[in-house]
Amino acid sequence: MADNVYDAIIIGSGISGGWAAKELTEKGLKTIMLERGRNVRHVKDYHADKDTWEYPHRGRRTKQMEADYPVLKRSYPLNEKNLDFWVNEKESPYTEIKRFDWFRGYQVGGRSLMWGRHSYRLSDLDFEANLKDGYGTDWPIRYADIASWYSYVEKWAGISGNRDGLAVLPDGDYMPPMDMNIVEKGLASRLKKEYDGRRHFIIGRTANITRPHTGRIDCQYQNQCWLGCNFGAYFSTQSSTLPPAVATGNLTLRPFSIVTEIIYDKDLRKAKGVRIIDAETHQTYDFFAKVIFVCASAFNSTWVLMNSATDVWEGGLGSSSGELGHNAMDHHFRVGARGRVEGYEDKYIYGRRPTGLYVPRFVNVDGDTKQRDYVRGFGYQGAASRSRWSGEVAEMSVGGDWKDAMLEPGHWSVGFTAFGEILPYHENRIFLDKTTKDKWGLPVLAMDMEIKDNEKKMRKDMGQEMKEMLEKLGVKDVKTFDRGYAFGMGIHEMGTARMGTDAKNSVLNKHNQVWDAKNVFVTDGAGMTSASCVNPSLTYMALTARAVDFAVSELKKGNL
Amino acid sequence: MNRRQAIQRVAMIMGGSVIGANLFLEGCIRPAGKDVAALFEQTNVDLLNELADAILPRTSTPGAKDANVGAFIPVMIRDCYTSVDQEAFLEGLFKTDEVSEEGFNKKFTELTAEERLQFVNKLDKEAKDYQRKKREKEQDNSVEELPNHFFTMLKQLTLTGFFTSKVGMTEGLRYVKVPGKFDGAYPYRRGDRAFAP
Repeated sequence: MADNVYDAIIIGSGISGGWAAKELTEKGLKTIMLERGRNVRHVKDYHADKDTWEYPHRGRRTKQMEADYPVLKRSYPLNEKNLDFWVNEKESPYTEIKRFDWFRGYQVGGRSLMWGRHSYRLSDLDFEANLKDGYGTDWPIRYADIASWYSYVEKWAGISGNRDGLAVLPDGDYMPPMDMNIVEKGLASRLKKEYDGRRHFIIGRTANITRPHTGRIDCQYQNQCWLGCNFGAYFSTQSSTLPPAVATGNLTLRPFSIVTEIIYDKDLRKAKGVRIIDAETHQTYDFFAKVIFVCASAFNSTWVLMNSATDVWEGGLGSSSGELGHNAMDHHFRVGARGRVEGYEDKYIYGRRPTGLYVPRFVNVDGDTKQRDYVRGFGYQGAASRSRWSGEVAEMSVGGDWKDAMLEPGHWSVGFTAFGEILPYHENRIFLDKTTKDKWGLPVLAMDMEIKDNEKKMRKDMGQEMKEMLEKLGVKDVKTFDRGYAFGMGIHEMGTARMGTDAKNSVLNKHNQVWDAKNVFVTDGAGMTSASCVNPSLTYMALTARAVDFAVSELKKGNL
Repeated sequence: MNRRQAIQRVAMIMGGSVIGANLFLEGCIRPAGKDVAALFEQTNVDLLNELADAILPRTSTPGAKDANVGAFIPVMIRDCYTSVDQEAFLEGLFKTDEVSEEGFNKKFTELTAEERLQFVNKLDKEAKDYQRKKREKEQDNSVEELPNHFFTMLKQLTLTGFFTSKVGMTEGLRYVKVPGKFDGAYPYRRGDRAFAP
């Protein structure tokens, strides 16, 4: 075999790409995983050993950082500690037709290194949503099609969680859950009573292992995940999917490989391989394979398709339906409520739990739930906590007594932030801006999307509902907040190459297979037909493993 | 609008009776040629440590000087603050002794602990008053980019510097780098120190 010929090519090495690598190589395919950024070695290239005081600015942002990262600075990701995990925006610009905050990770592992780790299953409430209310197009799959694949990926990735028995949030195959603190337990049991078992505070189902697992050490409660974990306690490509792929001997990992297009064979009507630019040398190389997995992160996967087979379809590979680039989604958030909890002064928290509480969706769920003036719904993430006191009082705002008071914990508080579903609007789209080029002379993406009436109405409820719940629970000084949301801030980009029931209404079929090129599979967020309101990464894992299983069986049958 | 104009304008708006009018306006030119680099000179690091320690003095627990906050502040002023704020900070710092002389007829470093506390208390009140008026004016959009008060910056950096320092995190607070377990009902007795984040 020539050194540029493989059985399979994977574009991208994040959550989806890593899963594709594990599955393809374990099924015996010689596979090359192409990653546009640098390599990040497990443990060796992490920052978990370094203490806050070792950073010159103690983790805070500088003027130089703000100048270098004009988008990242719009939210929390701009910081001194893991800056090297975020994309250099000067090298990789994009165009904002409307404001869009794009927080990317171009390195081996992608954003699996700094993701939020909440891992929930979609339910049929989600898979049937488009069909029922008429937004977007129908999902080509239902929960039953993916349930066993959720189990499959949960067992390997290691998701800790409680089986809460809620229809809206199907239970999975979990490691023992992390514990609620004493205040959270009290609030959770009171909530159940107040709402007759219709609303729930549950412990986050998180991709942090609570038992040793596949050579990884269980969570040590540092809550420094996004610096990289020396114990490998949270799921990332490096901790979970890369090691078994490497162990097969079938994987070639090539960092600094920017895929510029999928090479399409007009006569065979399928892909032959991919072309890359070496990010360091700027040289072009071709790689060939029987099957290609596009896992470059939602919008970049679509970018690759848009730049491919343009001699056949002006809009690129997969554009024949007219849906490529359309139906872009995210989760809108940064609205919620918080307040003060009285009592529990003799209780405190030891250890830094890397997850919080979750409140599964309770609006527009069934005939019994109050129907709103908007469709779909939202969930909440939050926690009760007891932080160091850091207040000031008139008589004490400097001096030794003040300092000593600040060295002690204050009162307990509780707060939640909602994450709401954004509908799949056809007009919310991305497209190629050929007038702007990145460092490698490649056209960049233009972002043209916004939230609309449905999301804006939902936002009011997102704050108000939590205020009402907390007040019913006896929480004091409850206040709502809305810190504003810009598209992209959720870092849950979805859509632009959606799955669907027909080649006329979608880019991908029910196996994440491109209708227009059957040996090309897109298995990251690009394929999402609707957004649900739950964190999406677990679904990418399940869809990827499922698609690989299908692709390999099709290969064996000679169908690809 | 330069900083001096901006301050004069605020002073005007506020009726002239402001915030350390002396501190900020009267002969407010810092020594010629002094810029942010001057903050790194040992005498100024020492002075910053003394000022910070008046805000967070050593008690039975370590203070800001123990955490060498004076060395941290110049780095932050240089790298994280606008030039308008940098200038305000330098001016405020270099006025320390003058303000001290006004109130106590001696230099800041010659003040007793009790006098130092009075000194920072007075500045704290001035600074709060100034910041409140600054916010009001900025909300009116009648002025752009007013500098922060010297003492507001000093205090914020003292707090940040102390609570993120090794001394502050490990000797002031309780720091457990690798907790190894989670206990959400951990016993707490009045007076127990908080855990570092």
